[in-house]
Parts: sequence; C-alpha cells; structure tokens
Amino acid sequence: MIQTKDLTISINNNILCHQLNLDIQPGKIWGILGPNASGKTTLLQTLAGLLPIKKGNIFIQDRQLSQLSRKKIAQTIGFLFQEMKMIFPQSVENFCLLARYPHLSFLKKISSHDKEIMIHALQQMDLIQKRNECITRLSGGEKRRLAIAALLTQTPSTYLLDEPTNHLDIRHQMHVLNHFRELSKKQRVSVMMSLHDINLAQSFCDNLLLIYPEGKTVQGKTCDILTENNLTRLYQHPIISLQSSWQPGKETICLSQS
Amino acid sequence: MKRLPLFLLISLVISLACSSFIYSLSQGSISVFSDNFSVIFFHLRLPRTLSAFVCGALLALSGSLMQLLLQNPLADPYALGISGGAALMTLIMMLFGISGSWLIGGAWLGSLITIAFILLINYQQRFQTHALLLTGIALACGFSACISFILLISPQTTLHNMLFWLSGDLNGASMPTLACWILFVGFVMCYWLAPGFNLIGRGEQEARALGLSSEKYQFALFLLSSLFTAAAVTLAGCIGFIGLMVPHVTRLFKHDDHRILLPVSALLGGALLTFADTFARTLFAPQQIPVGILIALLGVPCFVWLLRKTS
Repeated sequence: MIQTKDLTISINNNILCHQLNLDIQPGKIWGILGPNASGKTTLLQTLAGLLPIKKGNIFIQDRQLSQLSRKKIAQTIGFLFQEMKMIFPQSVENFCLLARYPHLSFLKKISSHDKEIMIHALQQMDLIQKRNECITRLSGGEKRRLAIAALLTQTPSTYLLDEPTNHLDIRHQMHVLNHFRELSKKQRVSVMMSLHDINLAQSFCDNLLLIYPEGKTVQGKTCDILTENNLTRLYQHPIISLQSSWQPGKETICLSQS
Repeated sequence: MKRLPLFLLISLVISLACSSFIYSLSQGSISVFSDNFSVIFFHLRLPRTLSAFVCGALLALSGSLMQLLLQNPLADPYALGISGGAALMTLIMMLFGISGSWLIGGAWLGSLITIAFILLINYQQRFQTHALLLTGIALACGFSACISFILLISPQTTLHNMLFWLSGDLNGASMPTLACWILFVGFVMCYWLAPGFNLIGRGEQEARALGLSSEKYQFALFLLSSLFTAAAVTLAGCIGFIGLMVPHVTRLFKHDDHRILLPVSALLGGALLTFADTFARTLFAPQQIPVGILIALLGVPCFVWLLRKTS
C-alpha cells in the first residue's frame, strides 16, 4: 500500500529519520516506537502527505504521493491526529458525516449509504447513544472514540494512527485495537500507528519500526524487534521482559528500577 | 428559526413604513399620500432600508467567514484590522475635505492595501492561523492609534461628522448598488464553497487530511470576508457587533452546516440591522443616533442571555 524509498525526514537540520525504506503491505499492522520527540508524528504526517517531502519518495499503490490530489489521497489514507480540535459546536452525527467528504463528488449530497457507514462506525465505537449530542460536551475518552469513529466513516484502505490509545481506558484501548486488527484481517486494510505502550505493540502489531533519537531506524517482525537490548537503547532506560503466568509463551515487558 | 423569513419581512416593512415620518405625522404637517410620498419613499426610505439590510448581511457573512478563518467562534471581522484600514483611509480623505463617492473609493483602497499587506507577511507561513491573527492584532492596534491621532488633529468642523461615521451611521445613505452586487456575487460564491468551509472548521491540517486543499479555501475565506467588510464599512462605518453576534446566534440554533448557516446568518444580520436602524432614527426623532451604538446597546444583553440559556 505505502512504500517509501530513501525517505529522510528532518526538522530544522535535525535529522529524525535517515534513508527510511518501508513497505507496508495490505492486511498488516505496523507499530512505531520511539522516545518523545523522536519524529513519530512527523513521519506519520509525512506519509499522509500533510508535510512536504524534502528527500526521498513515497508511493501509494505504486503512484508517487506528491502527484496525487488531496482528495485522492484522502480516499486511500485516513489520518488520526494526536489531539483533535473541536472549536465549533456540532452534533456527533454531523461530525462523523463530514468524513465522507473525500467520497462525495461536487455538490453531491450525503446518501443513505453514507449514513449507514456513519451509524455502523458510531456503533463500533460505542457512541451510538450520543449521536445527537454536541461534540463540545463529550469527555476526553469519548472525543477520542468520536475521532476514531469519524476515521472509520472515511473508509480508507490505509490507516495512519497517531497514538490511538490516548485518553482511552483499558477496555476501550483493547476494543479499539481489536477492531483495527479485525479490519486488517477481514478487509485487508493496512494500519500504521505510533504507540507508547510496548505491551500493546507486542500484542497487536505484526511489524515494528523503532526510531532512535539520532535518526537511525530499525524495522522487522515484532518478535525479532522487541528485545531487551533494543528497547533499553531506544528509551535509554533499563527494560526487562518477564514470563507471565497467565499468558504462557508471551512475555510482559517491564521497566526495571535503576 | 423557521420564522426567519417572517421576521425579515416584518423588519423591512416596519423600516419602510415607520420613520421619523411618524413623528412628522403626529405634528399633523404631512399626510401619507401627499405628493412628497414617492419622493420620500424612493429617495430616502428605500435606499436607507436597503443599505441597512445589505450592510447587516455583509457584516454577518464576513463575521462567519472570519471565524472560520481564525478558528475562533468569537472572532470579529475587525480582528484582522481590515475595517480599521478602510476606516483610516476614509478618515484621511475626510480630513482633506474629500466627500461623496470618493470616500467609498478611499475605503476600498484602504482595505485592499491592508489585505495585500497581511498576505505579504503571511505568505511564507502558509497562512497559518496564529500568524494571521497576530498580524491582524498588530494592524488593528496601529490603525486605531492612527485614527485617534487623526481625530485629535482634525478641525472642529469635520470632527462631528467623523465621529458619527466611525460609530456606525446610515444617515444619508444612497442606493447601495455596488454593495448589493458584492453581496449577491459573494453569497453565490460562499454557497458554492460551503461544503469545504464545513471541513475548514476542523482546522487546516484536519481538513487537508480529509482531502481539502485548505490553502485555497483559506485564501477564498480571506478575500471574501475582507471584501464584505470593506463594502459594509463604506456603507455605514464601523458597526462591529453584528459580525460577532449573528453567526454565534445562528450556531446556537444548531445550524452547523455552512450551506444553511451562511444564508441564515445573512438574513438574520440584515433583518437585525434593519430593525436597529429603524429604532435609531425613530426613538429620539428628529434626533438620530448612530446605529452602531444602538446595535451594541441592544445586542450585548441579548448575547449574554443567549449564552447563559445554552450553557
């Protein structure tokens, strides 16, 4: 779906990502791990075409990203922002329906099919009973789920999620990530998300990309990447893995007191 | 809100029928169907009513657009300093004794220079909201200082006129042909762009992520809102409250789609200013008070009440 070739990302001559070659296949979930300010958000926004590409290339379905129109990109790539601005009062329903914009031709109205997609997305995110409420009155977690519901209403084939579990309680964290895993299995969508919880990354991601502070990156299968050495170097804090008694064969990653 | 057309009709009829004319009637000097009737109706009352309506609609529209552009529901068309630029230019021309239609040209020039200046400064920042807002604040401060200075040095004979015009005055309005055209063409463009405006309300980055070329729409917002402001300023000076209040009230009635919000705002703004102007010229007739002052006096408590009601 998305491929990058020698992609170098920098902010003010500070290289965040050096000559990155990614190949995100349909049906796969990728996780991005890295310390604060390592460039996870910048990478995701560059992949979505929201920031200019300075060096290297990005291809979507074998076409160069920079040559596609904004609308075309939005039909294939959905982006979940870390924080969502909700300035003007609006109903939950209408907020979600706006996400159908990339699929509507000029002056075409919302169809009943679009509404069905919206209602399904709200049901998935457990918000259907709030459909007529004003978005400015939702709680932090509800706003987060609303943003995800809007993203699902957009029905892209690639999801770029910037810390999707922000503001969510544990039940909803698992629910949201399970939903994306189901989507990737059933509808062959590809997902790339930045996470801070290594245990969630371990249970939900097929592949991982580690971004080290100095711009070096490591990528590969989750089981190969999640080593104590890699993680300790990544976060510059000692990290150990423990065998959990309730989930044999799977390790739980813990911080060690140093 | 469904009674909006009725409200509008009533405001127009009252404005056309009722004026300080009633005051004259009570003096028993003029009868309604005298020879003067058509002269008064077509040369005094109709232009004034139309001016009030068009000015109100322009202000409400420019307010709605400016709020979208600045991502702030309480933003004012005056926040970008464009009306300040227009007013300053008009005052400078008044100071040199120029009057009539030349003043309109001056206001246009002032607002256009301000727009060009703002665009020039913000070009490199890709028209980011905070940069635009800061430029607007700086410009508005500068213009208001210049206006105060001009008021200080201007002679007593012109000072009263200037102050009256600055506080928003529809007295002596002529047929607002140009403003009508601006309102009509601008409104059609707004309606055409409204689906994109809905997305812009979420912020430029999010709108881009949903497939909108934000920069183009922001540019359109900027040009249209400043054009509306300039046209309104040339009609009636500085009337600030409508652009702030009408879009907000419209949103309180749960209109969030700009295909509905913009027409409703325009009609409501027009009707409101028509009402206010009718009051302004009849309340203390034959003494007239500037409509801008009346709008602020009437509007502030109404606005506070609506805010309290919804929260």
